[in-house]
Amino acid sequence: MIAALLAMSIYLHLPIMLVLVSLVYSATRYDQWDLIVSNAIRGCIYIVVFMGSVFLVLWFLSSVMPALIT
Amino acid sequence: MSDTKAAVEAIPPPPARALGAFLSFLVPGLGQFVQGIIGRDRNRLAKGILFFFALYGMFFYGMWLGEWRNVFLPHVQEQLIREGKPLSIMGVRLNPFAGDLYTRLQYAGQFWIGIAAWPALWNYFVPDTPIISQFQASPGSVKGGDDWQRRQSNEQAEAEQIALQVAPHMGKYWDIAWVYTVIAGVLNLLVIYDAWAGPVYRRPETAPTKGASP
Repeated sequence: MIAALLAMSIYLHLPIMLVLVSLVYSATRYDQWDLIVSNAIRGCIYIVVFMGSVFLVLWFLSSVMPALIT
Repeated sequence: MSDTKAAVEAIPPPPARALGAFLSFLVPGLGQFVQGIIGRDRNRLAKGILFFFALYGMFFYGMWLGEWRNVFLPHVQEQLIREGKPLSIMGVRLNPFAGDLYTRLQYAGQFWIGIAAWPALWNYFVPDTPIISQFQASPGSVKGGDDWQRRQSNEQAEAEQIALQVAPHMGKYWDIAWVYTVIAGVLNLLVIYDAWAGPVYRRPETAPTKGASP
């Protein structure tokens, strides 16, 4: 379990960066904190959806496509 | 003119904008912090604190992850010019500083974090007085610009970098580390602009009347 968590630790850097980048970017757009937080959450969702889509495309090309061809 | 545009145009610029932008360049968020105190604006003051901890957190975490060896500016182009094979872009030979920056493009992003990245510049430009040479040391910076020593220094630094990157405990962390430092620096450009021009959007003080024509 711990070994698996340690192996995953490289990916733990992504959500940390995601939250910080969204929060800082949003804070440079707005001054009111409710707008900053809501815009940061929206930004996080956009990035996750975009990166998730890229991941799915790459996963499809690398894992599913070869199986379909052969 | 729409209500939104009128509201945006009505935003007053932040107080002491030039000072704020300069301070935010020195230390992330310091400009917003000072503007918050001058303008008695708690939101701005809190934003300054957020910028400080978020950007310095990312920058120094990235440095720590890279074992404090990923923020530097080397003297490589001087050596390459001496050896007759200088770096060039589209046939145009780069001057020593541009060439050195080209070999370490990450520093172009890291620079904007402000004071925290200045030791690298000091070590690059003032190699004869290395008061902070161990922190953000500049490979190839040698006293008097001696060519042989410069080459030795560059080769030693390159060997150390390669050894660090292939170390079992490092792996992909090396790249994550410098990405953290570069993103922190580039984000501070937005923070500096926020200190200069204020936020892009602001909710109007009085909400527009329902049914009002746009």
